[in-house]
This record gives sequence, C-alpha cells and structure tokens, in this order.
Amino acid sequence: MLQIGIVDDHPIVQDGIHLILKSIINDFEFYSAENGAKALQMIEKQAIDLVFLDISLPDIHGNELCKQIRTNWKQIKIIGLSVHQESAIVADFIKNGGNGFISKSAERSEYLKCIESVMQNQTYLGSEIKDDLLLYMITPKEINNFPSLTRREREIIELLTEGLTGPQIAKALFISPLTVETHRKNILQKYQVNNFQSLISKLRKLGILN
Amino acid sequence: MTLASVYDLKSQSIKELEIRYHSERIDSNKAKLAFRIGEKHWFSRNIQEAIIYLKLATELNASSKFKTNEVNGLHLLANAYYKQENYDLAFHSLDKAYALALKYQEFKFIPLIEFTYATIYKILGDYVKATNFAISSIKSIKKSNFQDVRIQIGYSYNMLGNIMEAQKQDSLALEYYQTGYHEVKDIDPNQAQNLLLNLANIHFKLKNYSEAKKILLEVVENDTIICHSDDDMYAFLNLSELAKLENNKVKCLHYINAALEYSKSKNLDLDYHAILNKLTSRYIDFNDINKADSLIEFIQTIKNQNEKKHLNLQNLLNQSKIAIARGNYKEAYNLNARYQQIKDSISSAEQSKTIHKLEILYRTEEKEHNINQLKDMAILEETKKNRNYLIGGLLFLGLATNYLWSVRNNKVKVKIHAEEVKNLMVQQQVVALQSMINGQETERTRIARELHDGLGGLLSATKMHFMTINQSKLENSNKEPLQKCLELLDRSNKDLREIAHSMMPEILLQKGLTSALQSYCDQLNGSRIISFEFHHFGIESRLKNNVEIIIYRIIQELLNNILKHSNASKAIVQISKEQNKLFITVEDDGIGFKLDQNDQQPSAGIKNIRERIYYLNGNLSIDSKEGIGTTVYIEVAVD
Repeated sequence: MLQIGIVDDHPIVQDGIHLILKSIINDFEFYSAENGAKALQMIEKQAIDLVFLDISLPDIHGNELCKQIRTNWKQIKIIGLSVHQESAIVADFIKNGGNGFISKSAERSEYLKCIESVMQNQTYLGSEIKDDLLLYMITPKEINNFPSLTRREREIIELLTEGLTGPQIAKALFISPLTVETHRKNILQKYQVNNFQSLISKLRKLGILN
Repeated sequence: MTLASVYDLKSQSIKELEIRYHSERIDSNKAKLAFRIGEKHWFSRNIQEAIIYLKLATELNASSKFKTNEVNGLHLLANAYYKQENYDLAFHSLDKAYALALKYQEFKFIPLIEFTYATIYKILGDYVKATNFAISSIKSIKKSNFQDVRIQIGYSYNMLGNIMEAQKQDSLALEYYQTGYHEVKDIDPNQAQNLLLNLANIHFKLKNYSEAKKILLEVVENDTIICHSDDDMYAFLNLSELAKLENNKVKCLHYINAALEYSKSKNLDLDYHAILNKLTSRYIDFNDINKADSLIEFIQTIKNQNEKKHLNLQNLLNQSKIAIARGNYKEAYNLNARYQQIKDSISSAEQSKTIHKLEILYRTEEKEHNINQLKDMAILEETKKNRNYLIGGLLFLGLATNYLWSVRNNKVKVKIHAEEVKNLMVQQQVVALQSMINGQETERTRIARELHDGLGGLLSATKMHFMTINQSKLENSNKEPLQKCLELLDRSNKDLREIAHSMMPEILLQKGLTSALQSYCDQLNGSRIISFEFHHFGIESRLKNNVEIIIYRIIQELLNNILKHSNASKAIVQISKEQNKLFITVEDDGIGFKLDQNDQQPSAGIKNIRERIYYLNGNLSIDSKEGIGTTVYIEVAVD
C-alpha cells in the first residue's frame, strides 16, 4: 500500500489532491503537512513513499525542501506541485532531486500518468510545463550568433586603436577612468579574449570592425 | 583532549576554559570551548567578551558537527548584540539561527528564537511584528515535547503582556498576564511571581486598587513585615504606592523602608538608590521637609563619582522641590537649571538612540506603520519640549530677574532646538522616501504571493473538486456546463498567474537579478519584433534584495519604453559590476528623441526611474541622437 503525503499550506488544496487521488488509485494512505518542518516530520514518521510538494511554502522554498528530502531519503518519490512556475525554477527542482512536476490544475488523467511514471523511476513533467521548459531551453539567448558592441564600447575601441590610454579616453568621453576600465574588461569578456590585440582581430573577422 | 573532558566543561571557570581554548588545536573542540566561554561570559553579563567568543564559536562551528551548539551559539550571539543595541547584527545572527534551526530540525530552539525576535521588535517599537513573533513562540512552545521548552511559556505570555502594555492595551495585557500565570503557576514559581507583579501593576493602572492589593499580598505571602526576595521588594514598593493612595502614611513609609532594608542587605545598589529617592519624594508628599532634606544629604554622602545620571536627576528634582517648599526660590532655580541641563543631555542621547532604532526599522519594515511612527515621534518631541517649558515656567513664576535671564537663555535653546528638529526632518524625509519605495515593493511581493499561492491555490482546488464529479452519471444537458466551468477555471488561473508575474516575478526573488533579466529579455524576444541582447559581467553573487528589485524595475521600464516608442530593431542590455559599483547600459537603435524637450517635461516613466536611482544614490545619463538611437547609462554603488 502506497503511503502518499502532500505538503501544502492550504487545507483546501490538500483535500482536493486527496479527492483526486481517491478517484484514480485504490489502495493508499494519505497524510498532509502544511510546512517544511512538518513535512520532514511526516516523511520520517509515516515512511512516505510519494510526496506532492507545493513550491511556495510558508517556511522554506519548495526547491530547498526537495533537496533536503532527497539528501535524507534516497527512495522517496518527489513531485513538485504549483499553480504555475518559471521554467528555470522547474529545472532547479528536478536538479535538486525531484522526480516530477505537475500543475495543480492538471487533469485527473495527468495526475495518474504522473504517479505511474515516477513510481517506475521515470521523470514526469506536466504537458504545459514540458512545453515551457522546451521553449526555455531552445529560445535563442541572442538572435545574432555573436554579441554586439554598444556605441560606447565602439567609441572606446576606436580610441584604443588610435593609441589613447585609459585616462585619456576617460577625459575625451567625459566619463570616469573606472568606467573606461569596466567597459574595457566587459568587451574582452564579451568576446572571450584575453587581450586587446586578439579582440581587434576577432572583431575584424566577425565583420564588426573594419 | 578527550571527548569526555569536552563534555565536562560546565563546571570549569572562565579562566581555565580560556587557557584550554588557546592550547586546543582541533577545530570542533575549539568551537565547543568557545561556545562555553561565550555562554559563561553571557551569564555573568560580560557582553563584550561573550560576543567575541560566540563569534569565534560560530565561525568554528560551521566546520564542526555540534549542530545544537551552532544554533544555540548564534541565538546567544543575537541576544548579546541586542543588549549592545546593535540590532542589525542581532537580526543577522537571529535570521541565521532560525534558518539553521529549521535546517537541522533543532525545533526546540524555534520558540526561543521567536521570543528573541519579539523582544527586539518590541524594543524597536514595531509592536505588530513583536506581537506576531510572541504569539508564534507561544504556539511553538505548545507544540514542543521538551519540558525545558514548555516551561518558557510564561516568558512569552509576559512578553505579550509587555507589548500590549506598551501599546496602552491594558485590558489585553491583563488577559495575557493572567493566562501566563495560570500556565506556569504550578511549574515555575519564579515566573509566576513575576507575572503576578505585572498583573498587580496593570490592576493598579486600571485603578482596581483592591485587586492589585490582593495580588500583591499573594506575592509576599501575606508577610507584610519583611522582604524576602526581589519580587517581595517590588511588591512592597507597589504596596506603598497603594498605601499612599489610601493616605496611610505609616503603612506607606513602612513598606518603603522594608524594601530599602532589603535592597541594602542584598547590595542592590541601583534599587537602593532609587528607593532612597522614592522615600525622599514620599517625605515631600507628606510634607515632612526636614526628613526629606536629611535624606538628600545622606544620598549625597553615599553617592560615588561614577553613578548613573538618572539618579542625580531625581535627586536634583527633589532638592529643588524642597527649596520651593521652603520658599528659597533662588536655590530652587539653580537646582532646576542643573536638572534641566542633565535632563536635556539624557534626552538628546535618547533621541539619537530613537533615531537609530527607527532607521533600522525603515530599512526592513512596512512603510505606513513607520511613517505613523515618525509622526508620533514628532508629536512626542513637541510635547517633551512643551513639558520642559511648563515645568520651568511654573517653577520660576514670581522670580522676575531670574525669569528674564532664563527667557534669554531659553531663546538660544529654542534656536538650537529648531535646528535639530530641522535636521531631523530632512533625515525623516529621506527615510520616508526610502521606506515608501521599499514599502511599494514589499507590498507588490506580498500581493503577488497572495495571488499566486492563495487565490491560485483556491482556483486549482476548485477545479480538483469539480473534476471528481463522475461525468458518466451526469445527464447530457449537464455535461456541457461542467466542461465550460473547467475551461473558465483554467482561463482564470492563466490570467491570475500573468498578473502575479507582472507584479513580482518569482524568478527575481528566487534566482536573482541576472536570471530575471535574462528571462525577461527571452520573453520579449519571443515576440520577434525587437531583438534584445542581454550581457552581464562580474555579478557572481546576489545583490541586496531591495537593490535587485529596484534595478529590475528600472530596466523593465527602459525596455518597455524601447518596445513602445523607439521603433528600434535591436536593443542591448548590459550590466556589470566592478569593485562596489554597478554599471548599467541600455541601448537601442531606434528613432531617438530630443533631449531638452524630454528634460523639461520628463515622462512619468523617466521620473520614476530618476526617483529610484536617487534612492540608490546613483547616476543616470541619457544620450539620445535622432536617427541613431538612445543609450541610457546608470551607475549605482552597491555593497
């Protein structure tokens, strides 16, 4: 018999999950906890096999709780539960040892599928969540293949190629030497080069500089 | 050193422990020793030393395995800091202790930590938070299985009562003291006595004199002859107040004298002096001027050089009252002038303390509450001033020459005072602006959370309940409306999370500024209208929470402007950190705008941005060329 737990600070959500579970699985014991501290006690005491974890809890973030549960109990199945989550946070939840993630308003069939999958050691993501996560991963971070220069950066590079020093550039552009230095460092990092010479040749190769 | 000897630390003296600490090489043992030394210093009230060792213990504990000591040490450290009035650091240690207690599941410390939170918030005058923490500490205590935690409940009720008293909610305070008393009367007589004293005090305030007297007699166990304990002493003092109200001079003086005797025998110097002054006041009340005078002389002789200013103060006031009673107005004037002088120096020290406390509150707390407090403080300031003049005025009436001289003197004082108040007001304005911006964001965060977790959860739960309706048993005419309901619930949920997200993106709170900005640019790129590039350099760790939110808002506003007005095809957002400075560039290749026009009538958006940058102590410069585009540079100092 499965020991199933829910961690959510709203009793009505606990009830809702209980109702859904009753309508899709036959034999299980149901326990609930309303915060992270109680969740740990519940898991310890009831030898929980599967736990539904709300991401927003009053005392601890769901991702952090997920990590704590995973460190202490290797076997337990953890399913993240949320109204909606940013993909970056869903990704973290799975990295922290979560077995699945599902929207609170998912269909019953999805709940069933989710439980079946994680019990067979597969990772399960709700359909909407999966779509978002896919988009999050494939959306180009920049539409160009290489980063662009800002106008200020371009000015600084031009003055550098003319042989001006940092303080001279600062004076010419009416900015502080620290700002010039920051720009210079940023440009090198942006194009992943170590010195000014390789920067110039790389920019020329990319056609950013004539 | 063997483990057994580590566990035997309680019985050793501080000196021995310190020697062992310095010769110890193993970190975990060192941590344990440092904690014990810190604890001992704490109990013997050497706060400075306690802090030094507890800090050492905290650092060493991070690598050792004594989890209990780590939490305990941090908690003690927080207590030591607040005793030193270093509330920032106290909160810092307390937050850490709280987080660790949860992490290590050291639940027995939770109520103690909550109690300390309540104590500090009470000192800072944030009674809402103080009440919350006091209540949650009571809740946590009730849930705890540890006997030594359960016994603390009296302290928590006492604290709640104190908070209520501070807010002038005397009848509520009464209730809490009573509840506290019933909780501990059978388990801890010390706490019970203390609560009874507070109860008597409240009854006294509420003018239930007979009830107050009944309780006080209970405290002293009906022995009204001799004081046996500190509690008895306080009870006797209150009994003497009651006797004074009954106009029973003999009883009144008897109680004070008995308390005086006790404080002298126990070397309670501060109490002894305070009671002496009280006795003097009583003699004055009963018009026994000669006795009062000889007592004053006595106080003068026993007083040593480094005694507390407050004592002097009471003594001076009494002296001047005696002088008035004897018609010696010149002396009265001189004494009173000295009284005023010392009083002012104390009140200005207290004033700066108050300002310091308020500042801490503004940095962390809700704006409205704080602004109200500012008002209260201003009123208090006003009444304090008025009261001083009133006392002065009454005393000097009929002393024409001296009076004139004092008017001149007061004029100078009023001028100085006016300047102080002005400075104070400038400070208040800055603080008010800061608390407003902070308050706005705190409020947004709260509403977003409430929408997302509260209402969102409810809608989801509603859908869950609907879904369990067995559709096969429904008539066909009912199936369609049910389906419609489910669809509408989904749509409501979707709308709701969009609103919550725009109020305060969860990713900003959880993963910080750069992740949130990246995500925002990705989202804008999804529209494929303008290409947004985002770069960040040198931001390895999270910035302060409020700084992150404000910068996010600024950049969000700038990007929205680009989207709406610029007609650009490309935009770059760059943010980099060098030393303690943050450099932000937001650039587009749009149509640009004429700057001077914009400067004369800055749009609400730009005005908002300016305000926020002003709040962060930063610089903003806008460089816009028609046909080429706009670049916005922002520099702010962060730590």
